Amino acid sequence: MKHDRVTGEIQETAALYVLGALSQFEAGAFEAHLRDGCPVCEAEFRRFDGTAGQIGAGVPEVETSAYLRELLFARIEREPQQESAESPVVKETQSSAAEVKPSETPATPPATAPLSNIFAPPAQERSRLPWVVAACLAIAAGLGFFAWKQADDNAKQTGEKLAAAQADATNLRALIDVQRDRSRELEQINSALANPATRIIHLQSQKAESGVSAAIFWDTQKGRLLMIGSFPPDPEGRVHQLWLLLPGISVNAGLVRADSLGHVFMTIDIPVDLSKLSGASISLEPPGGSKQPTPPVIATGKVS
Amino acid sequence: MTELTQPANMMGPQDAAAAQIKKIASGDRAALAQLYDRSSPLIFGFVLRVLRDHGIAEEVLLDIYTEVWRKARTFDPSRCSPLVWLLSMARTHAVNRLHGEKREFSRREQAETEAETAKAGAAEPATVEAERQRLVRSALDALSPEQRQVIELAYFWGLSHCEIASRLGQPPGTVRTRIRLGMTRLSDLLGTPVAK
Repeated sequence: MKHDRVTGEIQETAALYVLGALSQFEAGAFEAHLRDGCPVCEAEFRRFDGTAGQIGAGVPEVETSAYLRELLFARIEREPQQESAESPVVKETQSSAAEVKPSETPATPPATAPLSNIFAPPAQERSRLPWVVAACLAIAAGLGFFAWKQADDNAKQTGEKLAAAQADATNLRALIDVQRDRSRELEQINSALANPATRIIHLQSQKAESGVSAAIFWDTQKGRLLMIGSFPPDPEGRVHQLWLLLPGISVNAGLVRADSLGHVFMTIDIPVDLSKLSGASISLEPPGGSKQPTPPVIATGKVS
Repeated sequence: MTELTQPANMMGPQDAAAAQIKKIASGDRAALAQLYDRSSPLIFGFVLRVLRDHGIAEEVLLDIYTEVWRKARTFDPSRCSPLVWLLSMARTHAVNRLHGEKREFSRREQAETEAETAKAGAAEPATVEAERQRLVRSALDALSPEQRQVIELAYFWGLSHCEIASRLGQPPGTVRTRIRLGMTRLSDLLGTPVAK
């Protein structure tokens, strides 16, 4: 439904949305409404989005350390861009090469000085001198090349070790983030379990192949719901959607978004009276979700 | 820092910053350096305001500009200004990190109070940046303390209206109304930035 005039409710939703203060459910609904092309809500969203963007501009500036700039550019060297322009390094090399002028070429050594004739080898030996010099130069070049190659190999190995260490650090950080998230989730669940007012809904798959395993913790005092579980990847063209079962109706509780491992942890925050909540269910719906569950539900459970 | 961080109601053309982002999208490192030099003090100030930890704020700052490098092609000047784009990205990173760090409310509140006190005593330079800060701060000052509090808790702390209501011991509906009235007032005072 598109609106034809601004109301306080529209302003409120747009204002809360740009601040990220809406519940997941409300934010999803507002985004879907914007996608539907409501010009009134779009205008309010843009207005408040611009305002929110300026709130941050009021903070005092703080100078950054110089090394951060170096770190940034070291980091983006590992962040390839497909449409990257010509590398400045290449340009520099090319320009340096172009700047080498003939006049800068080392001058030819002067003709042999008369004194040098005293120490000059006999004519026969002198005729071999160019070959000896050439051989020495070849050996020197070979040794130089070998040394350079070894240094280059060492540099490459060091670079590879550094890259591997950085990759390990990145993986470790990701692992720590995952563990931190899990720890936070456990804290919330422990808190819910410690509350005698908490009731649990065990969602069980209707068919073994659906692969859904989840539990919802309902804090009946605060009206909060937490869901933790394991979900299979969304099938092609379908998404998992959660429903809360109230007398006579199924209330949309939002789309279920699992991480890459299929793990789900979500807070369900919807503005409805849950006092008569009897259970929950999961269905597969088209992208964006549905207003009513599409049968058959793939998992369901009752309040225990 | 030039036109990039000018306030909305005296915002000049931001073509230079938008052009830099366009160049960054095509792999121009020099453009990234220019954008970083002109915008990082504000973005770092913002991230520090959210996180209150210098070391973590530095890590997040690097993440932000790395994302600028990677996602410059997604910047659409018809949708928002470079400043709003950067601040939006910075807020996402900072608030996500804040949630990850799970800081104690009281500890931050104390740090914030100390920082505000220190700030109040500091003389401000007579620059465009100071003028920008003054305008935004005066707009925030024009709000009622309750309105300002809920907006700052949502914006800088990344709290939902239900979380704010829980912390303040107020009904969610009251928090929503305060946010709406406060944001409407701010919008009237600051205007909407030209999307350029």
